[in-house]
Amino acid sequence: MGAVDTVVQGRSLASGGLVGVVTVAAVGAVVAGAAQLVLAATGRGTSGTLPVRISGGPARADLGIVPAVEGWAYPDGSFAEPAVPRDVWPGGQPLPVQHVGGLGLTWWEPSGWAVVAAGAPLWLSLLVGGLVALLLVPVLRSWAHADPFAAGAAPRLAGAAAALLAGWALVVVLPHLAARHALATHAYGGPAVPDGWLTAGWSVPWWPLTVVALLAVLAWATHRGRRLARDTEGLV
Amino acid sequence: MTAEAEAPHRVVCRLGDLLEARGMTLVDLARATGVTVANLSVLKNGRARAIRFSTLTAVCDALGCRPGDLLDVSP
Repeated sequence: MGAVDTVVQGRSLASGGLVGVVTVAAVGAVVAGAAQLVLAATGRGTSGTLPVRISGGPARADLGIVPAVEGWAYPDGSFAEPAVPRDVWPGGQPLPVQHVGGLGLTWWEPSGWAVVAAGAPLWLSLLVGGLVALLLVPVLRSWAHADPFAAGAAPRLAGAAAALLAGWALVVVLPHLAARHALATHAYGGPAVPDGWLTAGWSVPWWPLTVVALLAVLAWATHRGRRLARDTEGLV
Repeated sequence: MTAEAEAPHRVVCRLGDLLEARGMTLVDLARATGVTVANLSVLKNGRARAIRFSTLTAVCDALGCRPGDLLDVSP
């Protein structure tokens, strides 16, 4: 076997190995995502944070989020106005929220659809990430074989873009719905937050949309390229 | 690239016969014309769907023939 043949075989083995690793990782991600979904759906309960925002109620944010209550002084001896009556909120009791990037409601629920919805960022990311990787592996292989316009590449790229867009939309919407549910059903510790103080917020990661746009552009370009390649196939 | 369905045409290429008559190989013709062996093979084996005039000119010059000697339309 000549030196060139050895190098070519080595590259084939390396690319084949890489494809294998990516495929195994993608399948693992899909399985892990499905497992997380099952765990969330089987009533094991969940705690964590849900996106909310403060829409009313007087509060200071330097000691947790502690509303101002009539007759109650902050540890530094200060009072804040306007303040709510003591029968509305106990003095010194912080709101059940914490700063986690945005503002997060600390909640707990034993079971139900809200548990699944709240966990969507994790199980959906695994599921969709694995699915997108599985869709793109054949495309990457065709690129590695200098056949970028192989049959099926454009639909796979478009499918990956669509899956990523749908997953992104669900990751944004489901936690918001879970937050609305948690606020409505008092699924958090401490006293019930008066109506209007907290509303369900949105946690929107924007970076997936750049990947969606890239995949969509690649799908369109591959589709166009395949048409051109078909037109010139057999041209000598 | 995968082959698409055969185009409806009756053009036949006699490149193989011409090469044999002149004792030339595809490699020799590729060297003489500047066309790749792959493309000449496509032409020789009847898988070509279109031929550039520049390719036709180069092949005819290298083989010393006319286009009608190279290409024909079967009845």
